[in-house]
Amino acid sequence: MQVQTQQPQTQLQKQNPQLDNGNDIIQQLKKVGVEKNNKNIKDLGPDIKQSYDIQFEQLPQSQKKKGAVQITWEKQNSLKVSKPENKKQMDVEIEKQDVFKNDPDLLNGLTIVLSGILNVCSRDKFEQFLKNNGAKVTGSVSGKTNYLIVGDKLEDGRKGEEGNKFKEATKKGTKIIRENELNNWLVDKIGVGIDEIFPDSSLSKLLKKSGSKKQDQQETVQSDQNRNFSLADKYMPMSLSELVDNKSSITQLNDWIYKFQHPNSEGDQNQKIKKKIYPIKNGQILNLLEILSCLISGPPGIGKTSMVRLVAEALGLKLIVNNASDKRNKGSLRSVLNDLIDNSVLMNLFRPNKDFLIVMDEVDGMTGSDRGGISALIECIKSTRVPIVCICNDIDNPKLKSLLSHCYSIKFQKPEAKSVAKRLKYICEQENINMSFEDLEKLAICFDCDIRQSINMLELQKFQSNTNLFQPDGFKKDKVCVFNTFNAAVSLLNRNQRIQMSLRDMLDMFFLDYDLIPLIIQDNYILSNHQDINNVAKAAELIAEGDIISKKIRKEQQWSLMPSFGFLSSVYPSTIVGEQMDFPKFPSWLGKNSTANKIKRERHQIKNRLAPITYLTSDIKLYSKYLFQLIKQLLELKVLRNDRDAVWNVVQIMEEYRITPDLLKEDLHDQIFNPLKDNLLSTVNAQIKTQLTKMYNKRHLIQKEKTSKKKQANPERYISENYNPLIGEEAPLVEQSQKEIEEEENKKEEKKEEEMAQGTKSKNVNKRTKKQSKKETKKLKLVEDRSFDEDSQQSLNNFIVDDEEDE
Amino acid sequence: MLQQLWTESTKPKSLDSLDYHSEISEILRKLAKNSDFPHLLFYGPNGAGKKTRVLAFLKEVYGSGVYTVTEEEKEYKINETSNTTTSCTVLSSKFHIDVAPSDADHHDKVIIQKLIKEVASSHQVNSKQTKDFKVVIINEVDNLTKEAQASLRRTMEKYIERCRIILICESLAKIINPIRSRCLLIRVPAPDQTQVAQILDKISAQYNCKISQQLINKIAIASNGNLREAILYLQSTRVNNTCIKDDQNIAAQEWKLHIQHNIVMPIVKNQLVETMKEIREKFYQLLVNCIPVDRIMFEMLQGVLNQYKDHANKIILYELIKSTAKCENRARQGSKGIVHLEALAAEYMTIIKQFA
Repeated sequence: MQVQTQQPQTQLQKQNPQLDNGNDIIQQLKKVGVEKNNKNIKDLGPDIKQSYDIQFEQLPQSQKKKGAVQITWEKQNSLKVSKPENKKQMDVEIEKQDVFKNDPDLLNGLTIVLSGILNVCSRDKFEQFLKNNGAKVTGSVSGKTNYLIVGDKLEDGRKGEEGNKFKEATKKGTKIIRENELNNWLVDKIGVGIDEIFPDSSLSKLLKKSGSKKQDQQETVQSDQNRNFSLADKYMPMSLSELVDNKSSITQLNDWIYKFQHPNSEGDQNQKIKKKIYPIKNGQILNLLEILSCLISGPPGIGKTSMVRLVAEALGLKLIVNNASDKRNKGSLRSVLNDLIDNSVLMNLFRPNKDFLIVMDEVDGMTGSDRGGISALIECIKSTRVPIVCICNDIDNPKLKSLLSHCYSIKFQKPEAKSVAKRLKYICEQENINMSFEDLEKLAICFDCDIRQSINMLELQKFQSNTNLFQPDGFKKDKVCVFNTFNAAVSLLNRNQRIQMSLRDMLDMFFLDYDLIPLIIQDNYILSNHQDINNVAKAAELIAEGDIISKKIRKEQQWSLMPSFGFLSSVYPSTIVGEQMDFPKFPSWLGKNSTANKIKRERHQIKNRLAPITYLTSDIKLYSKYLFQLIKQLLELKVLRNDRDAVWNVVQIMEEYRITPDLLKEDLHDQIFNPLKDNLLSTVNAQIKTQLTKMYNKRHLIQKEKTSKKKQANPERYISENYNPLIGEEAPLVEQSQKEIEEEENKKEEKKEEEMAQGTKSKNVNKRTKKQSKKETKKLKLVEDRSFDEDSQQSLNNFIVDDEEDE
Repeated sequence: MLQQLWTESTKPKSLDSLDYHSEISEILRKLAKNSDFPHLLFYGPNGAGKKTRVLAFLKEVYGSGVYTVTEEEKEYKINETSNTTTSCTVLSSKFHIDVAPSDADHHDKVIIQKLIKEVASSHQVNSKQTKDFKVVIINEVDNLTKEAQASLRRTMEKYIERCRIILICESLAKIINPIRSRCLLIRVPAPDQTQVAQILDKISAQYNCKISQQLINKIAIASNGNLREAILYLQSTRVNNTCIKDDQNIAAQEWKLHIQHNIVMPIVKNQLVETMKEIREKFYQLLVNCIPVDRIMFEMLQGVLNQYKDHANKIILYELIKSTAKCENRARQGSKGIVHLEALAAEYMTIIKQFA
């Protein structure tokens, strides 16, 4: 956490040496000034006040210049000791504030429609103003509309003329007032300009305010010229007027801060601020009054942080910046922020809770070690008495979703290339860099209007220009900066865009993302509006050849083949068939491939399960299909014939083949060719399915636990030389007398019961024993039916798990 | 009733009980009587009985112990430095191990090298009673990568004293010559219709299904020599209908029908780019189900040839076959099946447009 401004205490301490040591009054004053409110200062009486004033005026010149904050601190303490011109200006403003009052008759009878973003003040505010003065503000242009007021830009960044309202208005002949004509129009209609109407928050006033300090700071810059500044630092905007574009964002921020500080001002008097209730529905912020934080979003390098800094300076707020270089996890944020937002002692030092602005910069970087940072921030926002401004690059970042609903969102748009170029030209002039406006514009476009990066680029030019190495053609569009993967694919597949590119350029497009672009081309080459099948066949063949090369590259690490791959897989096919393509499909191969891999894994799993019984290596698909069908048919039969044995038979089959119910429903199910992806088991009665699962689980409940333990100890867990539950007790069993079998079964029963009692509550022992005995008799029959030779039975025995007897 | 499918319960376990190809059984019996035998390479279509013969042969050599197998998942490090491992399921008895290294995809080389060394490093436990060597059965040799086959080639010579290798594959074409020349090749052709029908007869008698001769013949024809499929089909008809109707239709496998209806027909009907878009989805449905690309291509070719077999211009048939061969070769070298299938479909369309 860095406090950008000097604390008033230190400032006063610095003044100490200049104080007359014997002057008790002033010493006393110092204490009072710090510890109590400025009210008390007034109470001290005129004499002391005067001496205090004198004391400040005697400050050395350098200290005065030191920074805006010092001045503003003084200003806010109503000590009229700031620089004389400031004082004058403020007086003028105070006068102006009294000039304009709302009059419902002024604009009476006019119907006005607003469109786009207004730079001078926020649209809501302007609308409110129009309403207060008797005008009717409607949502869409109709025949009755008198005026359409159009901002330079629409909300989505298009130009104002492209909006539907503008088109409608030109059609109907409605008078259109552009932003630059607005002031004149207002003067014409009401007799006052826009500055007078919104004295507290108007842009021009802000610009004036921050502009007044500009000169001072430029002096400092010049005095520091010998120091090694990078151009981007040196030409950081020093006043709001130096910011490129996005004037509307400045207004928005200014409005927001103003309303935060003056909750009861203006036309919102009837709306009382409710600091702890947040009426946010569906992420829509309905009333910015009740939002205690604001989130500024926009691409990097266009002056978001600078804007906040300058607005804060202009409004005389102390800036407390917290950015990604600070530790921002839950704990540290809480400890730091909570002190600031809720510390009454600190607050009372100044005018209560109005003089801070907490800036949480780069909030989308709160990741990794900053665990819980966002949620802590939200908590702080909920209870803050200080405006908190968050800044991020990507507002769609899922991490910021929770924060977004607590913030008033201000979007920073990319500035126009021309405006960037203007700023760059200014810098060039200052630095004696010889570059034409057109080149600078190219440069700006090349860096996607990122001002900071463009200035950094200028720095390079600065050195080159000394040796006359500068070539204007050196600025070609840098694809990596400007194009994303999908744009690149579009530019390859669109004939219009393609003809502007050289072969080399097209290959560069491929190299933007050599994994994804071939896939996108492959997915879209038949969708790009080409109708000749011969050409499509040619393209398909090239892509197929490309695939061979790609395998070579991956497998044999022959990366030198990359250009050939790019040419075959992307460039050539798209030149043959690419006609027009606006929105390329995301490569479906990725999804399909992962599904195929999943099924392959499942097949492997089934193969392993079946191998000891079937010795199957190939043809798994066929086998699984029949196995699945057989099981399904048996289960369906259960309903048809009311066959009680059917489920039991299925359980036996499943045990024989080591197929669990889950394996049946998923792995085995997926092996069946099923283009519609139906649930093939849906025809089976649900009751029977649950019965099957129950019956299976009952037999395996105890085994499962054991096997999972044994699995770790002994990988060869499938060998068991003892009892096989499925075939009964194999050949000798047939010869055994019924009694013997029963005895054995009873033993087993007891064992099971013991285990069951340990684990789960046994439900009804009697019922189960009955069932069991039924099963046993069935088993006997089954065994008789069998006609295996000895070998097969022995081998079978060995395959099947039975941990029950394994102990 | 049943705990096993009939394919298992009726599987012959000794050379004597094999139903057909008695000449192969005779050769195997002779081999088993000798104290020694060379490496063997069994090849033939699916469901012809390769594995059954191999196991019956081993039983002849070692006794019934070969059917007592344990299952084990073996893990091998890909190389000494990395921690990545590749695994493979191994079935082993006292006398032999049974492995399909192609499970490990492109790491199959590692399995071949390490596994065989491992086997060869230990002697037979009970050498008095049995032969002094173990047997390694390697399945799906045609799916092995070229590297794995190459490493197999050396291993086969080096460890011949301690172990014999029995290779099983579907087609010889994909096996490199050096391996072929080191093995005794035994071709196991698919049983013909009458043989399949005889076996089905036998099984239906054993399980007491009342099934007409007509239907048995139908199944035999539909199975196309895949005995496994025939038996499974017989069983599913048995479970499905207690009284089997004679005129029951025997459907081919769904995916084959899918190819005929949804891929071949559109290609033959409209040679348009729209059709390409349409059949791409159908291709994906097949590929997602892990149906091998070459099988799909084969079925496509058959379907298209069927459509044009009576066409006046015979060149079209040659062109179709040629293009299929070309695409199959590419598919084998490449990795993304869809690309090659689409190329084939597009090629078919241009050929049909040109000649038909």
